Amino acid sequence: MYLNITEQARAIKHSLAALFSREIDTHQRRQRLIDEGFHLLFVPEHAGGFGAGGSELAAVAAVYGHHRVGAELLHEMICLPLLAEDHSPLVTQPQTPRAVAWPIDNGLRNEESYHAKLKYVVAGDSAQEVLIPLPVRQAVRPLLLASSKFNRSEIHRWYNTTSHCDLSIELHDLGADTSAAMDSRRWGAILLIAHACCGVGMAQAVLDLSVRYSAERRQFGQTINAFQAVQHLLAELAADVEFARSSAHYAVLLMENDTLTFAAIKALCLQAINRVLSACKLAIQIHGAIATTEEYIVGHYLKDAAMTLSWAEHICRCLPDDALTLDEILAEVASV
Amino acid sequence: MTNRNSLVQFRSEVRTFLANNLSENMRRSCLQQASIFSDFDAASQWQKILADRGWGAPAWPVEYGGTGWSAEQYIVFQQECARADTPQPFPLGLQMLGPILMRFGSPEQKARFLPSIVSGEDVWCQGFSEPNAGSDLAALSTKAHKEGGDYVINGTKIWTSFAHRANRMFLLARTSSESARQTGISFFLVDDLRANGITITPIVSLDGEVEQCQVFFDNLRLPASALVGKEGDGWEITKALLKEERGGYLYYLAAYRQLKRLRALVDATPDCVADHHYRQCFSRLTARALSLKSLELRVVAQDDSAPESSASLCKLEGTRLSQDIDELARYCCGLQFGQTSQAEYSGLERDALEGISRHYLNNRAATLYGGSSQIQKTLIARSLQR
Repeated sequence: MYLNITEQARAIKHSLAALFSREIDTHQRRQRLIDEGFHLLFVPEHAGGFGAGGSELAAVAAVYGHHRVGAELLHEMICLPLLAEDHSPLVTQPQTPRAVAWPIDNGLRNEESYHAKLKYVVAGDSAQEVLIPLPVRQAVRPLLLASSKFNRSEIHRWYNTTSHCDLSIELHDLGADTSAAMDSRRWGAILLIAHACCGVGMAQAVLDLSVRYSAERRQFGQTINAFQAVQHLLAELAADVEFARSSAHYAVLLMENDTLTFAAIKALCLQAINRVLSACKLAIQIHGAIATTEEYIVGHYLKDAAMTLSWAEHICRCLPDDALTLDEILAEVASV
Repeated sequence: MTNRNSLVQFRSEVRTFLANNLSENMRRSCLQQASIFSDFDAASQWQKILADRGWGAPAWPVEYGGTGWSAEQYIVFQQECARADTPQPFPLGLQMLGPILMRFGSPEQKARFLPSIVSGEDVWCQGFSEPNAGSDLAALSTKAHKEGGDYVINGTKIWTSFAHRANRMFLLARTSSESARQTGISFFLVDDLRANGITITPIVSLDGEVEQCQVFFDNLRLPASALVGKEGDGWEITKALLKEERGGYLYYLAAYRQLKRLRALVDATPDCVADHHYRQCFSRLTARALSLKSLELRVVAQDDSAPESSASLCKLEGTRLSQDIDELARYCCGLQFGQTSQAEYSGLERDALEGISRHYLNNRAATLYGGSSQIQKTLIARSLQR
């Protein structure tokens, strides 16, 4: 059981990589994504999008990580449309929010609230914030899936009339078996997987940089890749990249097949992102002091990876595990 | 490619066969397993049962007595064996020598040796490493010189797994010292390990058991027909063989067997079941096994997304994972870890405790044999630089 990256996904990945290579400013990138139709990639087909699936998610999110595109666009272009695919009934019982260590104060903490809230900030030229205190699905649906009236041109219009958006979820103490908890776990799984796949792109980027650098940098009269100590660091780095990829892709498969739930996806994604962080640390060790400077890019991947791990751990801390037992996860190892 | 329905049917057939043929003693031997090798007697017995069913060589083509299964069928079979706790047939003949003989052996060698590997009558061991030729295998100094129509072998091999139980050996010996180190090596088949000129000395491992031996050759005479390929082909054959060794083993299923044994122990130890550290570590180790699975299945399916150095990556990660599982198992054993007698325990719990303690020690060799972790890293780094 492994994820097959389709030819189509590879083609999209290459086009996207070319786009990100040309544009380095976030706003320009966002506009170019919209101009070239990438914002429709994960929008369901019935809502006028391309309905891309797991293979594309894995390939595209990795390009985001590789090119340091940032969580904002990852959420807007990938996570929001995927979250919007969920059509299960809304759960609207008010619950008392649990204090969580969320890095942004979204102003909702002390209000009576629903089981999960989306802070959806639409900042126009006037930079006004609009908070939508509703469950994620309900908040996203008006934007992308608001019944048959909503069509492709309206999606275009929406993207073209906003300058950026930001997604955060305030998570609350949920009983493990409630349907609200199940929904939350599903959203959590999508976000975790997108971040894990994004991390794979970061890890691949630092591997590429390290291989190149170690073949150019000379010490003691030879390139540093001639030293076995450096070769072994490179090998460890390559192992981190490959097993981060394998973990993240396995999580994509579980999501697609709906075979195992949050506990397994959580374990796989945390495993993947931890290896991404390890890859970044190894890359710094291979590069030496230059990698610890603001000027050089390798250290910035470490920051991205650390933030990605914090994001993932936050989601995991806030969402209750499902009833999946260790035996059930173990059984997956010997399944088809 | 086998379609999904046929695979479901095939899985059910395998499951039924295992349920009807696997004895309780064989299953117990798996709980006590202390290394990558199953109990010798249980493995031999199981190989014969598989051969009677026509499944003696699951990965071989039909013309050589194999099953001719697809890659998917092979995986399903291995998964079901792991779930059922079957012994693992001795791998040196089936996974290593067999494919090499199919590729490099003469028609006579194939006809003589392949059927008895499948039936389980012959057990092969590998004569590669020497006291001064471990990771640097090309430094080997065992010599084979021509005398009349025969080759005469002199020298010694070490770390030879199960030489004391096997009846045949494939070995590397130097037939020329004039050319480059690698080109002077040839590949031989020793068809009787009890022949005059061979002395086998067992080596006791850290866990107190004997798996490894040192083998001495003192004017051992081999007929010319014992040579595989031509003189000097040994290094090329060896590279192909090591590729089989590193690429043919499914580390994720070995990890699965280990994790399953750990669960069996923990289930019998109520204090451990709810232990937070145990649960977290177990979950992480299982996730690592899943990621290993994802790569190994790509390798088996020859998917082009698997990197060139996949075999080395799997060996590096698989053996490291196995040792990390040992560490968690040690934690779960508590003060019972390492006790030689588990008299106060019975049945499954005692088997698991004994197996875990011995495995912990024996498995230090996992990152050394079959190309140490350092060798694997060097191979991975080379592939990155190409």
